[in-house]
Amino acid sequence: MLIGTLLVSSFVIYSALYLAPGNPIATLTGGRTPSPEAVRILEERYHLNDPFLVRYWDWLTGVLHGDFGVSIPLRQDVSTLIAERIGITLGLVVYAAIIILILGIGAGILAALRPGLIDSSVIVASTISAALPSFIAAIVLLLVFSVQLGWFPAFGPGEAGLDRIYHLTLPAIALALASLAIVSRVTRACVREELRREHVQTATSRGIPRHLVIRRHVLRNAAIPITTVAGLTIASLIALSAVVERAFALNGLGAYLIQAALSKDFAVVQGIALVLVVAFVVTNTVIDILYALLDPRVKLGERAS
Amino acid sequence: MSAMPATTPIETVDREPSVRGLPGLRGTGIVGHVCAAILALAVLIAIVGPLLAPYSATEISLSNSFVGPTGDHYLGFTGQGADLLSLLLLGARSSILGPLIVVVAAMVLGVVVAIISAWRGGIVDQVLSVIMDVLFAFPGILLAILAAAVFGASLQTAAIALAIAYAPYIARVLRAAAIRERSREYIAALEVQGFSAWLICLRHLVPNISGLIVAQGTILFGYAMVDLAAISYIGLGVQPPQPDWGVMVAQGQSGVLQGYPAESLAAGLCIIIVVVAVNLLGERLNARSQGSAR
Repeated sequence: MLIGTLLVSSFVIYSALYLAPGNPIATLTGGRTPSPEAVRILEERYHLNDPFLVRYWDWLTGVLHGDFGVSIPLRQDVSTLIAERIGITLGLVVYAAIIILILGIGAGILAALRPGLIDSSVIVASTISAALPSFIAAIVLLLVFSVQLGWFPAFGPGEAGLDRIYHLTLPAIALALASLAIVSRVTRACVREELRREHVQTATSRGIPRHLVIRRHVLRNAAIPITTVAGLTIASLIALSAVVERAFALNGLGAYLIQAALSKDFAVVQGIALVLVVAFVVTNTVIDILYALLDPRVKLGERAS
Repeated sequence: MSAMPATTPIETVDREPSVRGLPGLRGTGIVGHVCAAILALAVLIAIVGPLLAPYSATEISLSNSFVGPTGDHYLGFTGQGADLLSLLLLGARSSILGPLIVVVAAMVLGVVVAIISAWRGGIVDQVLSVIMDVLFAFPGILLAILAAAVFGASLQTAAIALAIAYAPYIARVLRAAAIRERSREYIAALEVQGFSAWLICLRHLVPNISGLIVAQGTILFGYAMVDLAAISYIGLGVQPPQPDWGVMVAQGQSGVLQGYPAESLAAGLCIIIVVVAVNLLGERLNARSQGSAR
């Protein structure tokens, strides 16, 4: 199933851009009229005359060996272009995921266990952050924390290491905010529901310490739906990172994909789109597997309809 | 785009004290009515905005760059020296009618796929499910970027791409509802009486799940609006100088860095108000449709 989806997706990506209007020869020659001889050499070098399926097959086998073809406008290997930028995107998404997991699940558990002031402040905070689209959140964060307070840099990825983490903080928060709200609400709802279950009340009435009841009975059961929702929202960040990278002028994969789409650099668009789709599909599959591991009642391969 | 709780109703909204209200909004409470009023106003502005705008989007003079509110210009000027209030009114059209087109297209696609899947079952259902599974691999924003690369960046391209990306989510929710409805006895009775499948679907099945269809469409509008604005923000949707809230957030960003955030914030606020209104209304409609299904 996973392999099938990935194969069909790769075919969709390749054929869509293959069918796109535009002439690679014109791009290569920069608008000048080339001699028939030059055209023939270029067609030969970039395999422009091979049948479609042959070119798709060449591309696909190349990709499996780490060769994403050549960017015609830049005359550079797409795999090099991707390798230079994948670290920033990965760092951004992982950073946002950590924020979501720690703050989202933490706030949700806290809100469920402590009704009253903590609960209502978590609800208010999550209602506000759920309504903030990432690019508007980016603008607000830029305004408050870089322009007015001057705590964080306004753009750029910084040097690798601690400086990178510092530079990625605002982008990661902008990316995380909306998902943070979803995860904390789901966590709160799930923990609440588990607290009401009979076996939990039985355990409490038998005098088992509260922290043990919560750890053994409440959180273990609540972990199952929380993992799924957190995983799905984190997977959705992969595509959304493009918008945030653009907002903070980070030269990651997503921002480069947008730039390549505008400049019609098809080899780059194909390569990055494939990387993002694979990352998205694989993440979703990992969540499915994790779900089955956490819940012994679910067997792999039997999907609930 | 962000994950779509449209498929997994996460939380149920507490029932509010019932107020007598418009028939379409019954059971959505005061909040539902207020949200519906905000949306009606937004749609009205989207339609007649160009008539209300005191100045045109092209009436710009750089000498007015970032000038604050004055007597005739209630919200002041943008960085490019255009009247901010006029831009907001003009931008409402693409910002609100764009997502509306996305929702209508996605709902039509989703409903047709769901009904065919539920009605025919078997191999047809399986083939459609596989196609939907492949579409699930493409997040809306990614599909829109790909579409922009192939067909060129425009509102139309982005809207079509988003509609295709959303359709599987709608189809999945409605398919389950349609299968439940399909197994009801009245459908079997109509079939025995010899009514055609088309007639039964259009006259009975679709109207009976219409509450869910409306609720899902309302929730989808919020996602469509945010995603479409994001696509315009990154430069692959509405093309400037055509006014649009997403474009305005992007164009105002240089002002934000210089300490003049009015344009970005005003456009962002417009997006947020409409999205919050539509989400609150959608949650309530969804809770109502699930309440009535049981």
